Amino acid sequence: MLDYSIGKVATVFTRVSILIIALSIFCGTILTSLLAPEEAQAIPAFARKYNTNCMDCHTAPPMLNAFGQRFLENGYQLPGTEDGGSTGKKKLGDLNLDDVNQYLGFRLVGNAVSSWGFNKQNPVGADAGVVENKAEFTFPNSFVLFAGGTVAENVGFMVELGHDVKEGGAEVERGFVTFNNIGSHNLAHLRVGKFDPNTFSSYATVRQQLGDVGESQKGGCTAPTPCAFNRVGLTPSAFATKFYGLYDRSGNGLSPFAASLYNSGHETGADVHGRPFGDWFLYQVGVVNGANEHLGDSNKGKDVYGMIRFDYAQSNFFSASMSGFVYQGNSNAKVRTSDDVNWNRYGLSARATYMMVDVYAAYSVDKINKTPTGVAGLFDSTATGLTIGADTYVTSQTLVSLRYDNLDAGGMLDQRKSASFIGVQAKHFLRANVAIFARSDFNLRQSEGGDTAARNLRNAFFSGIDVIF
Amino acid sequence: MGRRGMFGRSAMSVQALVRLLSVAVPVVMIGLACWSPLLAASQPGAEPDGTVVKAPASQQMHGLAPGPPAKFRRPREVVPSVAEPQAEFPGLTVSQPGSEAPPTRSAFSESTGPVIVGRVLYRGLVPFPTQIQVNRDLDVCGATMSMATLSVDAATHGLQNAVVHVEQGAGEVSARIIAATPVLVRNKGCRFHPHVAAAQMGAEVQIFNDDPVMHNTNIIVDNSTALNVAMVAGGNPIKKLLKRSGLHLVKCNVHKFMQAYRLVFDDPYFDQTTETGQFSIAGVSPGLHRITVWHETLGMMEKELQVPARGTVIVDLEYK
Amino acid sequence: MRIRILLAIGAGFAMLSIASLANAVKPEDNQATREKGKQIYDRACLLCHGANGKGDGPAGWFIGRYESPRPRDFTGGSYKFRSTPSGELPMDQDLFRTVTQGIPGKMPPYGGLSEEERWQVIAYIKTLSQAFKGAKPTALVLPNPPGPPSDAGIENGRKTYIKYGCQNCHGDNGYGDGKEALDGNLKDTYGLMISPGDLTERASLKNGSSAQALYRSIMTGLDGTPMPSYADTIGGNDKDVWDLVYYILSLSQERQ
Repeated sequence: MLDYSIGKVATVFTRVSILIIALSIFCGTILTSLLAPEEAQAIPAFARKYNTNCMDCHTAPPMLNAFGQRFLENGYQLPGTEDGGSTGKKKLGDLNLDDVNQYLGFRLVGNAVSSWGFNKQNPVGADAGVVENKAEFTFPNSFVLFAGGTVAENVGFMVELGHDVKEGGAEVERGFVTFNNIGSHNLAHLRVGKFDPNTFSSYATVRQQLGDVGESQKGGCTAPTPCAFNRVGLTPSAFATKFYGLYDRSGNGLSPFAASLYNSGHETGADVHGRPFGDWFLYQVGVVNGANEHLGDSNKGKDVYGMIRFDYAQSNFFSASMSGFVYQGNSNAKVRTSDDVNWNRYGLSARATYMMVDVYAAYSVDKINKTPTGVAGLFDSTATGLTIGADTYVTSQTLVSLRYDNLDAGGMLDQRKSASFIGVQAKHFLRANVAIFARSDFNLRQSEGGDTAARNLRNAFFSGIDVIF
Repeated sequence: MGRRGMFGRSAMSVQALVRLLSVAVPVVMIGLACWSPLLAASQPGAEPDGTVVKAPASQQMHGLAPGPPAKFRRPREVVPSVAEPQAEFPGLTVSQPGSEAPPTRSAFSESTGPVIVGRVLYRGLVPFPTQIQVNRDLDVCGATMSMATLSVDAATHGLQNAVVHVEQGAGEVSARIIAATPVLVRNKGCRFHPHVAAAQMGAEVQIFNDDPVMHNTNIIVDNSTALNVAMVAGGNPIKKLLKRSGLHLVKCNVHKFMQAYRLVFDDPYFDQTTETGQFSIAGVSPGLHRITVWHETLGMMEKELQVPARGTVIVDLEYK
Repeated sequence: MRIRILLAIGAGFAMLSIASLANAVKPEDNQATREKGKQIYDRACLLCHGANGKGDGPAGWFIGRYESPRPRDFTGGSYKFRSTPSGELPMDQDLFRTVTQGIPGKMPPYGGLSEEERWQVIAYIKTLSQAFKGAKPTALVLPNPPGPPSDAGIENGRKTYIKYGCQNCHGDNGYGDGKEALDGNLKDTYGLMISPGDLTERASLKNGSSAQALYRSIMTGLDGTPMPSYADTIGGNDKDVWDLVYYILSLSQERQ
């Protein structure tokens, strides 16, 4: 969703000066935000609409607590209600109108400093200049505009427009309409459009405490040789593509670290979910184009998926859930840009939250069926990814997060690189919607197969500001 | 070697002290037994001034001083508790727990029912009163405030401001309905007076502000507000009925060092200990009862007590 | 002809709305009502207020985190926003108002539930505490404001603000930065740190920001918090209180 491609040359700073500059940016940010007059309206769209605060729905934005999850499932209506036509609406004659600011919001994330450290130089052909320990200023990194809410009773919508500051251009990340409480309350909710299929599972792609970091890629990448990835993407492994040497239906190389299939942030299709027997059980079934395909593309086959989830959320400030899904791909990828394969995924995720501690994990197994005979013996058709994360509030305003990722890669044997990372982040909320963070990721294993970014990366450090309005 | 010598010297003065006590204490207790009907009916009144601190220099030595010689040592168990001086005062009848003998009339008791008298004792270390820095209204509250939560009488080891309660058996109804005496909360000199008080449910709480500054009297029971009233300087006193039983914390949010306790019971079988730790409770029905003691820092203590049909039961309750 | 049709439609609407008011009668507080209320509670309220109403729902910790407020513990029988004297239960109308309007910054408004549904869930919530089985509470007399504010009145209001000790917690200018607040001495009855209201931000005042709402907050106090009730200490003289109300309103900016 948020692509942090780093493609320009930056000057070299010594470690000390990086620290000084980072500190001064922190101080500057803190001072300016404290001096700025506090505005009661400076809360994101849903909080404005309901005249309440972010923490009704979030553990720490963007992750949702049990109330926020049910709000999302209910098509952005308060859990247990069908208030889409009434709350936050003004009457103009017979029309219901929203205040614009009650469904429009934006998120701005900037890495004031990002610094990558490598043990040794990356191989020839990688991005020149991005060799040794580098620091960059890229503020803001990404800007996302979103509009969401309800149009009428039991009709909701969400549109998310993403803009990568460096690469330019804007893209509709997600855009969908929901029809809720079909049949009876919480029996079935229908979602149509471009959405994130996994949003109702125990651990969702778009809800990351350690923000998405894409790998850098050599410009002008041409098939069939996969592109030389200079910096490995620090995305949750359980959501990632995991295969080296896969292409989408249009022949574009798929990054092994990009979130995909059920865990993709944006797939076009329709799905239905509900809790027909009570709060403890959730089902979800859906059908999508698959593999990041755009609307109107070749209709080779639709991918289908199903998910079930069990919840325990009663009292004692405790909730827990576990979900499992099956995603069946239908000619949804290619090997060597020409041979269609079926790429399937099976996954489990779980989460438990008790007061200030939130732990979650996801594990997925990907299998490629119908491996073309041409690559028989050269292609590992199974790959797995494990992600385990934990957050805790050490004070009411400071969140410390930890995430472990293990990617057991598959694909072309001469290209695949497995990777393990651990990331630590401290995030301080200056206001409910303004946070500063500092994060570091460490490479835990020496990837096989010679010198690459995945093997040589030592650590990556980011610090910046995250504003949600 | 030197240690033993030191003990030897102080052991002699302790012996003399204990001999004096063995005469004085029974006299006092018999006097209390005579006065027990009156004591049971009355509530501890408001103290004239809030200072209850007794901190003679010798107090903190109690923990180090040796105990009295074995002959005069009080029994450690409270169940059953029998006062030592019984041997010297044969006229005083004390029932033995579990005994089947019919209770005998006490020559000294004038009540028709049983009377429970006794003392709450504490022989442990008594800290100096803490001095709290006053952070507002210094002209009214003073620059510092002396807080003594543990008040022990040096001579008798009696613990003041403990509240003793005899619990009703299951299904029992209070035999005595006394006229509910109001319990006072007086804001004076940035303290609540009295520091500890006990009352029966249904009694009236009367709140006064004698200070020229604003206080609020915030009474909390069971994590809920029982009453939170502003007491403006020169404002009216406030009278409300006590509707809940249990431990009531009384605080002022303007002056964080102000704190008091009110214990409210459903029945009248309670008493608050005096400066020398003495209490007296009358009118309890005969049989096996649980007697509890509450103190703000030492906590709760409970014992079992056999109460006869008539006569006086002397009970010593010691916090360990 | 057209006008007649429009008039007929208009009259129809008027009748419908009057009829809906008539139908907005509080349902009888019986077992059936309470059972329906429990169903609504389990869907809409449980996630914050907990399965047993103790305020410990799975989403309840994050609202205040280490500090006040946490969702209301219904089993305690003590409520913050009332029109009754200190230490008393709220009137049913107080509970209805809170459910309908929510609490700014803390609890969303549940106007999306129908009136009948809101009364049903209130009937269920009352069963969570034994206190409601006792005598019914009586509301304080909460009159209408005596008249528009005057400069002399606001001046007296400022004096009353000091006399009533408001600045100890709410600060000299009502920002909520009084000494007791800054020193961290203010705690709710559960022992959690609590912040006094910022009187200059009308929209953030949880018990309402109209003149009547401010009068009610001052007179009844907010149970569970350090905010005391002033009804008894003023001895019937509420002119000072109204002056204080208008002074507080003058502290915040008009947002029209």
